[in-house]
Amino acid sequence: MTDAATPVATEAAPRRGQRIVSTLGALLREPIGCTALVILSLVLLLALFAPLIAQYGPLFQDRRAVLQPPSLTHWLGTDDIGRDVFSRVLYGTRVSLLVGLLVVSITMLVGGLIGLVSGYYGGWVDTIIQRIVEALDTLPSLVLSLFIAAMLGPSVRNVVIAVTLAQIPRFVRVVRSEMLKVRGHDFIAASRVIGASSLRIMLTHGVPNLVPTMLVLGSLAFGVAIMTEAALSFLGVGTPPPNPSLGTMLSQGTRFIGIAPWLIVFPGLMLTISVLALNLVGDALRDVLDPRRR
Amino acid sequence: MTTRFLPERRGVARLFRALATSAVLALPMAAIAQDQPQYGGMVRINVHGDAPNFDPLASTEFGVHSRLGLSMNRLVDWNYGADIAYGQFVPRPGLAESWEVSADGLTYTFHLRHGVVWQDIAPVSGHPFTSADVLATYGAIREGGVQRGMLSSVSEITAPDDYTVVMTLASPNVVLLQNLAHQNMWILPTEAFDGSYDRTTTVIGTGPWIMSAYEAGVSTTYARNPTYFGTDAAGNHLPYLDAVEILPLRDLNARIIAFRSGQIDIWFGPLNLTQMDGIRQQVPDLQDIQTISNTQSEMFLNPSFAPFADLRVRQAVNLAIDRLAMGQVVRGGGAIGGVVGPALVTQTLPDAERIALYGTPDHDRARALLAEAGFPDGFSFEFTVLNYGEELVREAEWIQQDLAEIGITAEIKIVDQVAGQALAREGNFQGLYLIMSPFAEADEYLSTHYLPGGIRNYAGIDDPELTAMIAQQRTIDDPAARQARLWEIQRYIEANVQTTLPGWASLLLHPAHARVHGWYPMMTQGFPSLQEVWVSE
Repeated sequence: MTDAATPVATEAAPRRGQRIVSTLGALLREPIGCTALVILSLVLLLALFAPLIAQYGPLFQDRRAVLQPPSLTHWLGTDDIGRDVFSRVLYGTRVSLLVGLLVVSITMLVGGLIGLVSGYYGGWVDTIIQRIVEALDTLPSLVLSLFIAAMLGPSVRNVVIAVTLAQIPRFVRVVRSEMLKVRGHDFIAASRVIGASSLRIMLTHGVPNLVPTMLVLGSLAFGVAIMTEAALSFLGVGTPPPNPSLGTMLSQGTRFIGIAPWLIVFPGLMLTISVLALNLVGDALRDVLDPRRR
Repeated sequence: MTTRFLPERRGVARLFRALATSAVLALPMAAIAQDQPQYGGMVRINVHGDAPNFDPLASTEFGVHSRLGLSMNRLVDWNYGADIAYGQFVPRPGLAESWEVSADGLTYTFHLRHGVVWQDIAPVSGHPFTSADVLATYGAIREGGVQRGMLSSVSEITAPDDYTVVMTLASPNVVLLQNLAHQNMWILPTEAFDGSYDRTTTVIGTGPWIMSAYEAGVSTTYARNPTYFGTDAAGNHLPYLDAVEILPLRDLNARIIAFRSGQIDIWFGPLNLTQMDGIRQQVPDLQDIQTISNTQSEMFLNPSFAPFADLRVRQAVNLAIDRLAMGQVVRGGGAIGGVVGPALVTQTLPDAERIALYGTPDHDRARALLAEAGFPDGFSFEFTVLNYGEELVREAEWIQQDLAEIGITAEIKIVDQVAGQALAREGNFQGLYLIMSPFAEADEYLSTHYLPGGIRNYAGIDDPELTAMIAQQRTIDDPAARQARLWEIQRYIEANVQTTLPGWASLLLHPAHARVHGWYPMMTQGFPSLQEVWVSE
């Protein structure tokens, strides 16, 4: 049995597949987690197959149907230049999920690596890294993202950079703390005695023990990344027009809130559902992987 | 409820509707019935910016000149009234009571008003206004004022006596009067230039109100100038109002709330139709004064990008864009753009002709032109859009689809205004979309856009024939003949140049409360009609 409280002492590769299956099974037995996972899967499928599902291109303007309410022709209505809201929500969700995926992947890689090094080596390396992390932590992550995005200019790439940089300190802190615990175990000392290199110890003993924590953290960061992307786009420094993004759609919809509420209701609903599902999955994962909660 | 323009409503109905709209909007509709003016009371106006200082030679900031206009005068001023359009310059005597122009157009003689005195503020303390003040002001402007370009055609200024000023021009320039009426051309007393007082902090003029207090970020207050020379048509002394207050409300929502609650009587600054609808619900009896903006969107096609080097491709782009529908859907009204903006009603081409040239899309003809030019399958280009707000981006998105329908792919790239202007100046773009600066004279449009070295000649136009035409129109004194020449130039540009394609001039909204009478917003800064505004409460 492996979990965050009982570190693995040997190469874990042969049991990794079983662990994932058992974790997934445990997750599906959690009613809320299961529901959230199903909803999240649906959202993922809608985004993934957007070109097949959407009736119109996200940029196509049906100029005979400007600001039309939901109908059989335009399921979620149209915007102020006749673009189909349903199609734009699907493509906007794609952008949101892409940003979330990239942010989480890069953050896990970079933040995890820095946290691993900081926790394993300790000493002056740890001191320097932690002071930098603390300095970055003094700024709220949204403000930091906003600052970086405003400096770099609006684009999806820059949003990913801005959100990633703001999320990395959180990962560094948590991973470092986990690594400090792992470092104190006897099997680490034993590995050192038999001449294993620091890199080998970190990869073979450190990483496997950090995976559960990283998974929980990653699922929560996914939601934060989507929300931050939406916030940056809402403020005009995120995904630039004409590409649809849920935040940009919300921002543009506010002008017509009185006469065309569907312009903000549906993107807002999709944003809420996606983030809520991610957070619930994250919570369920935490419950499943934390032995104290079983 | 805004009427939305639908594309199937084409043809004659659309033309008539556009013409009717433009004709109505050309005149500011200070619509309420005018009773007998009453003296007393005050009005509050919002100006969404403070004045860094009050030196009119140091800055072109609207925050400065909007405030100075209440206390100062120009030699020649903008006339106003129910029959004068927002962007129509009709000269009105200011500090010059009358003027004569020599037959060769090279000498302007201005006869100054007698009996005008400066406001009773030390060290000027109410001494009479004379030609020495004009010489001192124009001398300082020519030496280093930000507005010195207004006098660039003047070679000499002399004052044969205290009430006569003579200007000699190097070459005829029929725009001189309008230059002297430019919003930055306030006349100051000689003491402003000999160190007697600090013109950056002290405002002394001859205007209708005395600036009594200025508190940055809070308010600017004015009290009636009892020695002001102005009178109304019936000979009544102006101004009618005892006081004016300018509130520097930067936040749009704060301005809207202030207007709704009656803290602001006259609206100044940006406002869109959706916001106006919201205000109207709270203030149903407001005066809904609408004019055509003195700015317009423009699309620059850079001939250094191979496809745009061919006039036929540029013509195809022009023919692809459905501007009338775009203006109705995106802006909710306004007027189709022109080589000279539509706000300059006497200088731009007539509405019907602008619609024929720029508002009659023909995709079949556009595709044929592209094929003739060697692009039967179209091409792609980077469409740089300056971020002048959501509605401009919407226009760009509209154009993107129009171009896609003739096979041209415009890849929109949004850039901030400063970066975009730098790209424009460097000619570092393929297609560029922006809101053009406000111009009050056709000559400004032409000289900035089409003369070699012009500051808005982003496409690098150097056409000797066009250059000669632009220079020549400045020498035509007869208004009708000059108008005809300006129209010829605009037609020439449409037929032969087309590197700058006009877009749309939006509606400008100037709501005022019902208690305000005699209010005519004008394109120039300084609120020239305010001296005849009165309030009914």
